[in-house]
Amino acid sequence: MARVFNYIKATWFGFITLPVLLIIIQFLARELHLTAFGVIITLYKGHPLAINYIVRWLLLIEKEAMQGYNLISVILAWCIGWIVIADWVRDIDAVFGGIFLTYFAYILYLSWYHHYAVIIYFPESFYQVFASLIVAFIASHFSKKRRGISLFERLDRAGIKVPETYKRTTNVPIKCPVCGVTILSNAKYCWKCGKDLEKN
Amino acid sequence: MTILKIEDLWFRFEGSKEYVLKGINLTFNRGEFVLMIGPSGCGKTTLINTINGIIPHVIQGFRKGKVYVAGKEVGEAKLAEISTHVATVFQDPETQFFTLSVIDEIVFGPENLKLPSDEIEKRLDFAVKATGIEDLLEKDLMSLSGGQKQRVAIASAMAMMPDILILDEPTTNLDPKGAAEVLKTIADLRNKTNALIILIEHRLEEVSKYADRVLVMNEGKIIANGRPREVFSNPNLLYEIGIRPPWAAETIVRLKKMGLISPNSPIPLTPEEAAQILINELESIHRATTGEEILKMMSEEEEYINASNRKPIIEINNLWHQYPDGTLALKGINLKIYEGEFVGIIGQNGAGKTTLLLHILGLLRPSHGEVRVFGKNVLNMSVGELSQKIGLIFQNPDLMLFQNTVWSEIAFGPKNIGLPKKEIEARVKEALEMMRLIGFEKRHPRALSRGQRHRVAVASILSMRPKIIIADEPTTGQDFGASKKYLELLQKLNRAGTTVIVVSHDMDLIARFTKRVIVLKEGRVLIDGPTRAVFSREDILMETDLAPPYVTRIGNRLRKLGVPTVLKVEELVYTIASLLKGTDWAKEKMLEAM
Repeated sequence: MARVFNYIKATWFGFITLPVLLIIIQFLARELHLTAFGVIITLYKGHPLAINYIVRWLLLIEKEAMQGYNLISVILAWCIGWIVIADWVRDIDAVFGGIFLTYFAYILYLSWYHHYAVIIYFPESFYQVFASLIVAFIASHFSKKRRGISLFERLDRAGIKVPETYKRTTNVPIKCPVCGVTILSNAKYCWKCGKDLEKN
Repeated sequence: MTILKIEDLWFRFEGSKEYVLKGINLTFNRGEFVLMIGPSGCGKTTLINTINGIIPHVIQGFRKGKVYVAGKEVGEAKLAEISTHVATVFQDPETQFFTLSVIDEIVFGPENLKLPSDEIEKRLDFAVKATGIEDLLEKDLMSLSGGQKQRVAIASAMAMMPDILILDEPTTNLDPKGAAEVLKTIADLRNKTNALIILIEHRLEEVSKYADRVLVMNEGKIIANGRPREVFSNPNLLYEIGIRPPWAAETIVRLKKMGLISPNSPIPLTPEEAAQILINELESIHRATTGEEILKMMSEEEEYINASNRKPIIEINNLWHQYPDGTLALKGINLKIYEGEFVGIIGQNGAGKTTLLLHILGLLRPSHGEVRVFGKNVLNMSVGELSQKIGLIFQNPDLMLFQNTVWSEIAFGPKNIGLPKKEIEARVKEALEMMRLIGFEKRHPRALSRGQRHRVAVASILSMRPKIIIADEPTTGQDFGASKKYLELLQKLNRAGTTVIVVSHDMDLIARFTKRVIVLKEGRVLIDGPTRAVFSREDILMETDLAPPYVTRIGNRLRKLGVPTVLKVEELVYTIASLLKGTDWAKEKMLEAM
């Protein structure tokens, strides 16, 4: 159930986030006057945009989107989106599935809702998908590594000292080394002879 | 000098035909320390409300008779006037606070009386010294522990320099350490003030030694009124109304009745007194058997050791939990709980008991380690799956009741997991039978008595047929009779094969019912063993400010005489009888007494 939820999470946020990111990138490029440096992008021209047009760009089925910096901006939107989602969902299968499901959801949105005849070019219309798969894989790897910082390292960094004996997993039941009775937990004292089991 | 006089007092609440107080006649003197006891609902709180003026000035009802405080009739005097004579401290200190800091809280009352500033300072000084809270004066109220808050509440009451100080179960919501702090403060007050102190309290062992007088109430009447040693010489009277008499007094009374000790022995109020009486009586007498023989008979050690041959149903592997504020609540807990065990978990507040329970229930994610229930990590189990394995009974059964009939309440869980109608019916009927609730199916759960509501709450858990039942502080706010009945219910389920885990501060009930005790201290297991063995280790328990039940403490002080660790007063009496007359005689006499 949790896995299904991860797939839904990745797909839904992919579907919502990517158009927003593409507009932000295009908006920033225009407002920061990157054209002065030869960065020509043409989706956002200061006028309102139809969502289905942004989605067509995201699917790279618009010829204009496949050109120069426009293509880079689309790939960048996909990559940033999937890095964030990969770090958040932390389930690489769900993220990979989410990339394809988002792509498919956009096609459904255009064809069913807008009755748009979607023509996909191979491999050109999949550049952003390939790029997303690679960055999501890398992001997921680093995210796992980051999560891998153990509680004990965290405590160490915070200057909180815990005895080494506390950190060990004890295979219970244990036997008291003095009287030999069974103890069903890693208790400090033996219930029978009172021996302090944390002292050697 | 009489400071409080109650003459033929009757009271019933508006809309009710039944009188809560029925012809009370009492006189109290200045400087007296009076302990008032009685089962829940017997009218204790109503009686004190007629003294502090809440009745009739705030709570309406039909009141007959007179209550004179410092010569003024409470019904005729203004409430503000009564409040200068009577101060009340309630169960929950937080409901009495008006300000944010300790110092503001203490001077709040005197300031409201428009007293001059030097008088307020004098009163502040008196209240702080009387309650010994000098070290808390500069603190914020919210940063205090439960015991400290209650001491501040008492100081605020003392700052009014009352003629009468009423304390209504001031330790009910506190852990053993907090309760001990408050009771010490109350005991010290006795020597520092000339006010009449009326204390309502269930912890008789701790307070009866300070009391000049004990009042026993039942069904709105005073059924006993006398010196503690006189009142406690009749433990059956207390048992009949659901109050547990002090173990020390009960032990001696029983032994006297059996003719084992001199009939002239005094009635003790503390374990030390009881132990001394027994040492004096038994030291020179020939013993019919040895302590080891009795110990062998009583031992549950085998059961504990053999539990590990069964299937572990809860496995906790190196469990750590750190809360977002950085508090390390659990520090590497490793333990196993086996099928069919009856486990008690004890420890002071903050020891990690609740955090541990929340992990077992899958409601908290471990910072490190794991919890497995029936071999499966709880984090990978759905709520539905977990609820069929573990049933949690809340402290307050009312929080679990939200349906309009007992039947729908019990059927709620099975319905939610999508069981077929026939199966639901079968489960509800089974739960109704087990909890003796047949005939109550159509009643509204909230319209039942507290004991019945408890049974409905347990039945609603049983209909899910959980293999494990966890009860979190199941006896808080209940008298001994009700608590005992409730634990007997859990014991019955345990005997039928359910694993029961009880978290409680009530050492008497833990000792009486559980077979294994796990003591937690600062997120670690301090000691884990058979109940008797754990309670014999007073020195280790003291590390976490816990003490075994009083009867165990009496027994532990008689070790030299061959008395093994005992958990119930019946065991102590039986042990002493066995030592003196042999086990056969003791058994026969005990059966006769039953």
